Formats: sequence, C-alpha cells, structure tokens
Amino acid sequence: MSLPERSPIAEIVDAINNNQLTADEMERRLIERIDAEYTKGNQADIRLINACEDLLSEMRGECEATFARHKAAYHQCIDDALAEKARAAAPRKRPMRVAAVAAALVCALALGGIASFRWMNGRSTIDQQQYAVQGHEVTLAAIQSCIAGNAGMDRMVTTDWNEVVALLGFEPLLPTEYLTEWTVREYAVLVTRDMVDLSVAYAKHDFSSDNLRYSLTYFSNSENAYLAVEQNEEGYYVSIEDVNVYVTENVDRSIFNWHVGNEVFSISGAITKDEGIALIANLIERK
Amino acid sequence: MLKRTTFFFLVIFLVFSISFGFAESIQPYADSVFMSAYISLANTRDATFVGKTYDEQASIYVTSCTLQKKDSSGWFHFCNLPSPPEVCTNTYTYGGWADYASFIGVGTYRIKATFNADGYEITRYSNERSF
Repeated sequence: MSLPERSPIAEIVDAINNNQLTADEMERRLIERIDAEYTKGNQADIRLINACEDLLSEMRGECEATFARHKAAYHQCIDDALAEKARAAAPRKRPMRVAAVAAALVCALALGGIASFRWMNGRSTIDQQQYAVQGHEVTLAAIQSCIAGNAGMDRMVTTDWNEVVALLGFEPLLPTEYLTEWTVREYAVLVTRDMVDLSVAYAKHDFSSDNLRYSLTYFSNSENAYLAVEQNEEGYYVSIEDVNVYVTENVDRSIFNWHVGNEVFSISGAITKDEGIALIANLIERK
Repeated sequence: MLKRTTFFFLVIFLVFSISFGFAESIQPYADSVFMSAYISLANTRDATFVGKTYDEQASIYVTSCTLQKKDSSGWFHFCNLPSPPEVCTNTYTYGGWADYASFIGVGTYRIKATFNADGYEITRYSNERSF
C-alpha cells in the first residue's frame, strides 16, 4: 500500500514548524509553487494557488504587492489593447463612460489567453437550491483601473437590436436557430465596472404564456464574477464540444448554464432538454 | 403479528417525520416568477443587484437590504442597508447598484436582499466576501 502524497503546502508548513525555513526561503518556495501551477493551464490546482497566495499575503501584510508580477503583464496587454481600441472608437449614442466600459470588456475578451479565463467555475449551493458561477482568481483586476470612472450601473432596455450593438460596440452572440416560433419582447443591457450583462426575453408568437430567457454576461474581473440562477435541485452536466453545460430545472422550466472563457450563458424557459441542448450546440458551434 | 404491524407503522411514521423535518429546513429557491435573482458583493464594497423574470412586470425593485457578518458561530445581522434606488418599470429585467463602503469594515460579510416583482417577493443572499 502506498502512502498518500503530501501537499506542498503541508511540507512548507512542516518546514516552518521545524524552523527549517527563513521568511525569504518560504516566500521563494511559495512563488515557485504558484508559478509552477500557473504553467499547468487548465490543469492548475486553484486551491493550491489560492492557499499559497493567501500565505504570501499574510507574510507581506498587503494584497496588491503579492500579485504585482502577474498584474504588470496584464496591465501592459490591457493598456495596449485599450490604446488600439481608442484609436478606432466611433461616436456612440450613449455616454462615453458606458462606451469605455464596453470597450474595456471587449479588450478583456480579446485577451483570451489570460489566466483569469480559467478560473470561472459553477456549482450548486449546499442546499442544491441555486446554481452559482463564481470567479476565483485575481488576474484581470487591472481592468478595474482602466474603467474606474464607471461607478454604479448603466441600464438600457429596448426592442431594437441595433441599439444594443451601438451601445456595446460589438455584436453579442444570440441564438438564432430553433427560435422561429419566438419573438423578442425585450433586450436589456446592464453595465457595471465588472460586467456587461445582456438579457433577452422571448415570447411565443401565438401569445401563449410560454416564455424564454437568454442571458449572456461578460465579466471583466473574475474576482468579482458572481451570478446565480434558480433551480429545483442539483442538476447534471452535458458535454458539448468540450463545453460543460449545466442542465437543471426551475419549477417546471428547463434551465441551462455554461461558460466559455469569461462569458457566462444562461437559457431558461418553456423548451425541452433536447431543444435546449440543440440550441446550445448551435451557439457553441458559431462561437 | 401485531408487533410486526406496529413496527411497520412506526417506521413509516419516522420516515415521514424525518422527511417533513428536512423539507422545513430547506427553503426552496426554485422560483416560478424569477429565472434569476442575485446580489454580487464586489471587493470594492459595492453590490450589484440583478433580477430577471419570465414575464413582464409593471415594477421590479429591492424592498429591503441588510448586511450580515460571519463569526465563529455563523452569520448574524450586522446592520440595515439602504436599498438600491432603482425601480425598473414595464420590464423583465431589474438592475440595481449601491455602494456600501461606509458600512463594511474588516471581516467576512454577505448581503441579504428582498426583490419585489409586482408584489411578489423573494429573498436572496449575495456571495460572501472577506475584507
């Protein structure tokens, strides 16, 4: 019988307890461990990284400096992307600060290789009554400084898709297939410093009580990424082209939730599981 | 035979008692009006409130808001908070925002808020966050 593998954190803690580590050596080992995990990409152990970073923060007594090396690289990428975006910016109907937020978020999305995109995950609450998606890493915090002027929330409601595109400065992904019987009743856009949320309300052409909601949320800062959808109980995952789609029910309506990078999608309403999965497969294929 | 019958009914009674007790301990979050209702507490001590309904509502807003703090024994009421001022009318989508920096100190906090959609109310909790 083989002994269970010890965690690197446990080894470091043991070394501290035995007075084998100086503060500098402990810091060096923690940073080395964080860097090693980052290089693993999707396989990185986020709990280990968090534990190491928490220890570093406590040692240094500050939060910002701990991640300075990672942030510096992100800052440069974001500054470059923002400068490029500013040159190409066109006048918008909405106040400039909203356009700036949207532009910054588009820049964030363009930085697809950044680690933050790996740190979004979803899980049911302990009582299984909600399914929540949350980010777990401080990586795109630099974006906060780029859009720091946008305190509060901007909200736009319209039935004109062109207004949505004009506001955001890009065309978000919308379901088009399998929705021939549905008509749009409302597009709603919420913009905060940390996210842009697009919600679409559909109703059946025949004015029945059936309805459908589609939501797409772009998070610019995974540390502040949080949303929740209602559910009866723990659902299950369906894999569609390597994307894990969470499937559950809210009372008697189907509900689907999935995320690609820092974009979180939700669909809920009077559609069957098979219809929903077909619709989502089409969305994922077009992305 | 009488003993076995008594034992059988006793087991049935216990099973139902446990089931009902468990059901009472869980407040169902599934909701026929809201597809989604949540509060996101950011590291900047401000909060975003979002509510999405299946049907159009004459008005959606947040009626009450409190701050809870965590200690070794769990969550306790810390203070009342001003609700976000937004009232969204003739819509399916509510969005609100409030800055609670002056209320939140050091510790682990979450926000409890009640959403109202045409008189129908649900209460939800934010993510917890340590400052």
